Amino acid sequence: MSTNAMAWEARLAAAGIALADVESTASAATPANPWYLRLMAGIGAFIGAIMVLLLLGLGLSSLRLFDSAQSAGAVGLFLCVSSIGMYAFWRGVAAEQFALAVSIAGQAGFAISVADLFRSGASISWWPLVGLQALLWLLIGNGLHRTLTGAALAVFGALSCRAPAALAAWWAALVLVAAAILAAEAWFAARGRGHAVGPAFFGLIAGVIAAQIPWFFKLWPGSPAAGPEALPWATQVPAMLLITWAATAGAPAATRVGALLLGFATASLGAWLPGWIPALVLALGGLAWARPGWAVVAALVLIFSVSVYYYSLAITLLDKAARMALAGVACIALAAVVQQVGARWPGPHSQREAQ
Amino acid sequence: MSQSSLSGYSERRTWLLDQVANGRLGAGDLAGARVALGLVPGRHGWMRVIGATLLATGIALLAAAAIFAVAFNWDRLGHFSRFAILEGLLVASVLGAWWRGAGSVAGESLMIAAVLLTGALLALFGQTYQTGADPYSLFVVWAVLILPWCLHARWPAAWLIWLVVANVGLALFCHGMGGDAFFWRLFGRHEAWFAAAIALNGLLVVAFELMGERLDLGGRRIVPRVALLAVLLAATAILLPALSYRPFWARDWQGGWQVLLAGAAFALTLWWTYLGKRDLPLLAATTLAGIGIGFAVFMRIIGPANEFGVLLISAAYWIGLVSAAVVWLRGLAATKEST
Repeated sequence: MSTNAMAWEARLAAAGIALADVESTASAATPANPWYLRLMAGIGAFIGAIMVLLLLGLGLSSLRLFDSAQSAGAVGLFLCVSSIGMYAFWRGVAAEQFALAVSIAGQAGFAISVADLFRSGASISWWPLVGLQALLWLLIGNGLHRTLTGAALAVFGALSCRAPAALAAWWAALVLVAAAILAAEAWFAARGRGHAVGPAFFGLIAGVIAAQIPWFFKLWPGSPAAGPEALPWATQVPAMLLITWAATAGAPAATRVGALLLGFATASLGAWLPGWIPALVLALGGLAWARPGWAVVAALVLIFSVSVYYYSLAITLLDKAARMALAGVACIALAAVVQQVGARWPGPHSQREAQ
Repeated sequence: MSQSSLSGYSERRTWLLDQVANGRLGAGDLAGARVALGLVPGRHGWMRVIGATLLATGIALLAAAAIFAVAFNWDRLGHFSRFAILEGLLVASVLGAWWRGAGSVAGESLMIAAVLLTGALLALFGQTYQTGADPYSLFVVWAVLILPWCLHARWPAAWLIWLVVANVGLALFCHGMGGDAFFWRLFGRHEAWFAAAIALNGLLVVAFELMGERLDLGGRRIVPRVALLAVLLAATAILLPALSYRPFWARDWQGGWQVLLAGAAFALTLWWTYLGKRDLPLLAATTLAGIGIGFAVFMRIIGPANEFGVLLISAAYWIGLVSAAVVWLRGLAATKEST
């Protein structure tokens, strides 16, 4: 057992959490390569995979097996299946990047055949791509791949929605599923799938944010004119409530209810801003599930969402300035109240005191 | 390893999930275990996080409100009012940084704000008084003005901003300078900026490596490493086309000087990262760049890439070189760890 593991076990024991004396079934982890080696191997393998795929394309073309959109689709599906196998049986950064390149190439081939089949650009033309992304998201457990397919799933699904209500339902469902996955991390961990939760959650949330922001600026091609007035953004509020409830597990009932009210108020305040609620879910997930990077990304998205307020033409800059000043004073007053309330709670006020 | 350092988050989190998977830790204890290991705040920690977030949000909203109010009235403000606002903010930032001191987060943040406000003030000056000066002069003057602050602050973030400003000024200078200057007659206009970037950043690397301790930039050498990375990128940008699809021997004689300068810079970078400082991350970057250049030369020699045999050999060459480099670097890393 490593020195760190012994120290961590001691801290858990000091907190009254006893670890069962069970024979570990996990194989001893090999020490990971330094980050720069992993990066180098990953870049090298990705570029190498592109060359191998070009080779494959040349070979198939010479055999007349890759000369139409339909054959591109068939080859693409074959490559996707191959990547599933690669991820399942190969290990290492280089193998993962190789499999990623194969998967991307396969998805591109499939997309070519779908585009050829549905030339009208109708909503239905995106459904096969959504289906493929959903399958790959379920079957391939690699963190980076799951993040990318989750994001693609959110974006392609949004592109397939023509009615604002359908779009709102799609995003609300995705954010809710993401929040539910993160809330059930312990359940997944007990089944040996704990490491898959983070990428699954982050991919879906990042995809929703990536889809909402261009939608707000009416950048999606072929979509109906939509903006904050047309879309019921508040359908995403249940996800915020779910993640808040899960984050306060073990706390007294009064605390949980207070947290729910705070989460509801915070979500509702900016419900019409692009990416606001998914970013809040991401921020809370980052803080409560020990992912500081998520909280940083969420903070940047929240700042961007607020900056969009600058361009709203409904009210003047002076009115906006006054509202923001009032909100700022209210936040500072609330901060003072929270500090006073926290100081009156019994128990150690810092980790150092607890030790 | 510090128990509360951000770099340990991933290891502690992974270890906890493994304990749940192994059955040593109950799924219901996972949340409490995260608190015990300092991964997430406890009850009081949450109050501190919420309080700090509300305070930071309140301050940001007040600052944004001030900006919005100024923006609303900007057209009505006279020249002196505009300058007074910016200069007032600049003076307040400098005084605040001096009061809080260079070692505190608040002091360093205010110093960064002062550095950025200097650029904004110069931009306002250029916008208000249309002197017809070249754009590069703003960045050059900006870099000169903030240099004393960077020397005093001794904070890598300030130096990195200075590095960006200096390089942007250099790029604009190269872009706008006429073709009769001696430098361009020597090095040619096509890749002139890259050659100038090699010279500037190379000098900075030498200066920072020699004076690093006196500047108290910390043991991580972030600033000289970023400058060296800039040298590497510029050298690669010259060598890659000059040795492959746009060969220097088919161009004017100035191409030869560029290749000579870039080649020398590349060789010095390799020597410094391998034999000098044994900086493995930068050595990995240098190795990958070298493999890329070598691959481009190889492709030029063996012929067009749309032939099956050529592609097969190229793929094997690339994969073989990268694999060999990874094995070599892994050995160096293991040797460095054991010493």
